[in-house]
Amino acid sequence: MMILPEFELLRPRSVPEAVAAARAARGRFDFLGGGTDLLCNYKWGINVQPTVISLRHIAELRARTNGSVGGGVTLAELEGDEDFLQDFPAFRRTLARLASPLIRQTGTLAGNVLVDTRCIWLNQTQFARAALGHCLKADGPECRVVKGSTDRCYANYSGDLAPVFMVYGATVRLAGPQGERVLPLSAFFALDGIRRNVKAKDEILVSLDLPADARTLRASYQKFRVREAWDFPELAVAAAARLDGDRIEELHLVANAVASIPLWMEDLARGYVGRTLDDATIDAIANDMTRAVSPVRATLLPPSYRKQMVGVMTARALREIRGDATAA
Amino acid sequence: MTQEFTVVGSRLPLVDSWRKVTGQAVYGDDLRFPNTLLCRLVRSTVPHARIVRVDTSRAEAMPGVRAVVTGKDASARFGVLPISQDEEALAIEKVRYVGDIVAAVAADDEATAAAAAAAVEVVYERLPEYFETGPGLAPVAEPIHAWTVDGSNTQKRVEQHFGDMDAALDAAAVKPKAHFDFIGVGHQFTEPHSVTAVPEADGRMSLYTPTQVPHYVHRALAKVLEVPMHRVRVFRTAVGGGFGGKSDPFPHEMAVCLLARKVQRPVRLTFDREEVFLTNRGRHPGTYDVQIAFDADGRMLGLDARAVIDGGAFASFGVVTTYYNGVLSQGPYKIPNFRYEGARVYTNKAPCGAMRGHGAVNARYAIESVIDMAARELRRDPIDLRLQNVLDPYSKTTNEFRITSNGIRECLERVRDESGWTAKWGKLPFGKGIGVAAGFFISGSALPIHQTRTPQSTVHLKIDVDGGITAHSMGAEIGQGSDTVIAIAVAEVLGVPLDFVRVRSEDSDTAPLDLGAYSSRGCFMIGNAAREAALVIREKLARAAARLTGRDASEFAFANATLSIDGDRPVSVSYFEALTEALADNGALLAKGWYQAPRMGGTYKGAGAGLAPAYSFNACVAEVDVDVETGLVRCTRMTLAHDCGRALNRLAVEGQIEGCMHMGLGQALLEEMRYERGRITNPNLLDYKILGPFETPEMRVIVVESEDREGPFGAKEAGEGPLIPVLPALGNALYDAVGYRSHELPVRPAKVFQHLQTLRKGGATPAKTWETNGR
Ligand SMILES: Cc1cc2nc3c(=O)[nH]c(=O)nc-3n(C[C@H](O)[C@H](O)[C@H](O)COP(=O)(O)OP(=O)(O)OC[C@H]3O[C@@H](n4cnc5c(N)ncnc54)[C@H](O)[C@@H]3O)c2cc1C
Ligand code: SF4
Repeated sequence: MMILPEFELLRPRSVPEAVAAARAARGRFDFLGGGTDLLCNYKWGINVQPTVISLRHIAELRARTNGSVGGGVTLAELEGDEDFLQDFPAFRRTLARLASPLIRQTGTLAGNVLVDTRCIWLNQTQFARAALGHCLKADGPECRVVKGSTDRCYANYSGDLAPVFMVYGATVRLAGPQGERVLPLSAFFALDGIRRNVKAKDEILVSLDLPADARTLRASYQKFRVREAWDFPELAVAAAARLDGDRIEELHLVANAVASIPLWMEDLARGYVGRTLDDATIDAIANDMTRAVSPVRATLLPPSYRKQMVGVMTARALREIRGDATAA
Repeated sequence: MTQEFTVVGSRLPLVDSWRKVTGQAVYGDDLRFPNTLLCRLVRSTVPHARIVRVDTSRAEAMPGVRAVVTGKDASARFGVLPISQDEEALAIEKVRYVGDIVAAVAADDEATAAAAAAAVEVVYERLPEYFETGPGLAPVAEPIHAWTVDGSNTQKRVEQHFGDMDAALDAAAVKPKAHFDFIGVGHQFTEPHSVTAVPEADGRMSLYTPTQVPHYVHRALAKVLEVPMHRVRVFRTAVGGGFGGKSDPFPHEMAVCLLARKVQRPVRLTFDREEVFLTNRGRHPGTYDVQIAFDADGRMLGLDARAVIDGGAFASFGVVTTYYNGVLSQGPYKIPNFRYEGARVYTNKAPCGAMRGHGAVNARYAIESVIDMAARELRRDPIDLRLQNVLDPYSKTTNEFRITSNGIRECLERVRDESGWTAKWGKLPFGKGIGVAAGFFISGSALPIHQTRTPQSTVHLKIDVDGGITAHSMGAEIGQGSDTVIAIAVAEVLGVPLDFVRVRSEDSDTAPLDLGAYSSRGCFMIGNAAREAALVIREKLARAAARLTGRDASEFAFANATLSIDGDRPVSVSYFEALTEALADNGALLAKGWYQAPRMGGTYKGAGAGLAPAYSFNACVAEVDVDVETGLVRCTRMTLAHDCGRALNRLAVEGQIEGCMHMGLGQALLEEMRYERGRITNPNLLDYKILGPFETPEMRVIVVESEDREGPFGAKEAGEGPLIPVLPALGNALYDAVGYRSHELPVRPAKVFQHLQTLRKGGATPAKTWETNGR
């Protein structure tokens, strides 16, 4: 059987207590939400830390009010929140098709946003990684996907919720030793080669907050993979728009699961503001999106195919926003 | 021959299902013996290498480590087939694949065992590595095994030729041919292998293992431990699924026994999922080339096939698989001319073996795809074309298989009628398709693996004053329902409720021999043995009732726990009255029944392969919906008719058929063991994709009962055969939907997409006509 490695488990009761615990652990720790991502990696012996700080007992992180969702809210809780789903309908299907009911029961929002990037070379047992050869991201010198890369990992960002929050215009609230800060989620992810977001290691994701006017956006999340349950996205597209008749007043796009972070396509989207959302525009946006991504072979399906599917999913998302009958 | 049955044919939960759903069933990892040590294995991380040194000293010095064994501790080779004993408990001179077991550690707890296993130092001298079958057909620098064909990596070659294939091809009006590539797939049962070895106080060795083949494990263990068979006991724990993946004696079973013997304490080993992948024995990857000749009227003139299968590092059932890839193409059609060349090649990958539909699945995909091509060329409805060519009941194939009951005609007609075929075939819009395929399978291998005259299955019955009937059999209940078959056969013959019968089928010390759960033999052979045994008891009870009533024993009917004679002088004796009389001055009633397949078949080389006392037949219609924007293929509906002779337990037959659809579609659409230079890259159930709930189609099951004359109450197999037509029906439906013939499995959405792109470049919206769909 797979054995969970040993670590010290801390259970702080408040955000400040957790932050203090993190500081005391001097970087050699991980926060724990539901553990559905972290503990899998631990069982595989990937980047195991001596201290694990569980955030499950912090009431503040479980708060859910009117567009603000605490980082510790489980996906199942969110899925059962009819008010939230009414206000932000793009989450309904996204949540219902995320991982599996069992995982949603345990997995949390913050854990989902901060889910580790995935790669066919990495998400393996220690035995398999030893046999295949270790890679840059854990215990090895070089990336296996992009040969020769010794400073950057190309593993796939595979969280489903962040892109939807992004196109709805959410902000993220972080708490750390320096106190709290709030920033747009679209500015949260950043490719700096090593880290993939601007969160400091000892900062806690307290909540995601949706602005009031997000309720008037029309959004869609189109996720592509070979099985409807369990499977992480092979690629996905999130889109949100405000339409005046069929004229685009506001447009936000994210290409997801084709790079190490969800790709915020703000410039591309802005270029279409003012255009009519007709078939020609949809085709043009889909083509632009396809051109804008360059997935690598870190997942099951061939990268060239995933690239082309970004266009197809973009078109689907836009057609759904336009009000076309959606394919189930 | 319509008979009235009381139990046979009902819909019954399996007799062991209560234990399973209440958690009382004892699976391998549920066992707890006092003082048990935990085992971890040291597995090779390289595909092919000479073992220079195994240094266990660091591991042995660790606190809590009790024993380490290596290849030095056992020299005997074993394997499931007597003709290809090429496995070692622990690798002796060299390792042959990533995962080969080099050493085994027993420690106080699992973490210590794992740490100690990591501390075993193995020095390898790398050897040339072989991952493809092609190069292995010719001589190679370092054959994986010493006994291959002419210094190649070829383990086995088979050639068979009946009639005159070249003449058939010359005479043919149409003779489509095609090449197919199949990737390996695994069984993916729920329960990982989990075994416990217990050294008994009297010096014997007991092995508790979730095996499909206790008898072969028993033989292999005695051989490896170098003790007589009576010094070994094999206890089959509840098996959490097998599908062929637990039908070999395994090195890890030997290894825990060696450890237990060394430390004289029980040793338990439970695999993680990755180790299940490494142990494998799944369906062989391979290539299949097939050409089928038809005359202008649609009569099949001949089948010409060539298979090269990738065996991985060890033989397992491979010799049989090599034959089956050819000989199981002899039905369900009349094939007057037949030529087959098969080869199994060793590679440095996890060993392949038997998997549900053993040897017949990939070949059938190829054949039924090519028949579909022929139907289009001949402009024939593919169901009609098949109906025209099916074998007759109680006939013979060209290679001298004895066909007994045969419901293929009814299978094809019923899937046609009940799927709405006529309204759909050729009439569905682009993107939607319907396809058909047929299949057949052995209902038990007529020739036993070890050619002795010991019956293939024996069942003992014992009845004492409580009236309950204990049935003993080594038949391996693996979830397929063999215990229930025994219970049904006994209850039916003796006219008692099912709960009078309790089946004990775990312990080699008490159970009479049965060869195990493979080749779909259980229902036919164990069922017959159980029925025979029950008939002996019935005779004893009838004679007792005769003594009590003065009537003739042969007149009694058995039903509702009563022995009765109707007519103008009716009498009735309760089961208990008869039993009490039968026990008087005699004691417990004992009886034995056995089954041995009759002699059959030809005398040519390899004539024994594929012989069965009966064959099951089936037909399947698949309906698909292709996402024409992405190339993703979904099976929306599947209708499958299977001739199982007679459904002893309708619920179990339906369950097996549904399971076959699920498993077959998994291989057709998603499943694959991916390798990178000999390393499995998806050894977990997230990346190895079995069909999920959303991909599972609406299933329609049709049970066809041809009432086999030799089967128990007319029954034949239903556990493997129904899988076989599933894959080609899907492939043919996909072709019907978008004109794409998948020459490989699983179907690749990226390739379907590419095909759709090409069609779109052609301009017009693709239409479905005979012409565009022609080839
Ligand atoms: C079989 C399987 C299928 C899956 N399929 C999908 C899928 O389809 N889509 C998808 O999006 N995900 C999927 N997941 C991934 C994962 O389960 C979910 O994303 C889940 O939401 C993660 O939440 P968690 O609370 O369990 O995270 P954890 O495992 O607890 O944490 C994940 C990461 O977030 C950090 N973290 C957690 N909470 C906080 C916080 N408040 N502040 C700072 N850091 C924090 C942890 O330190 C860790 O690095 C799947 C997982 C499995 C095992
Ligand atoms: S992308 Fe490269 S470095 Fe990152 S996990 Fe995959 S192989 Fe390792």
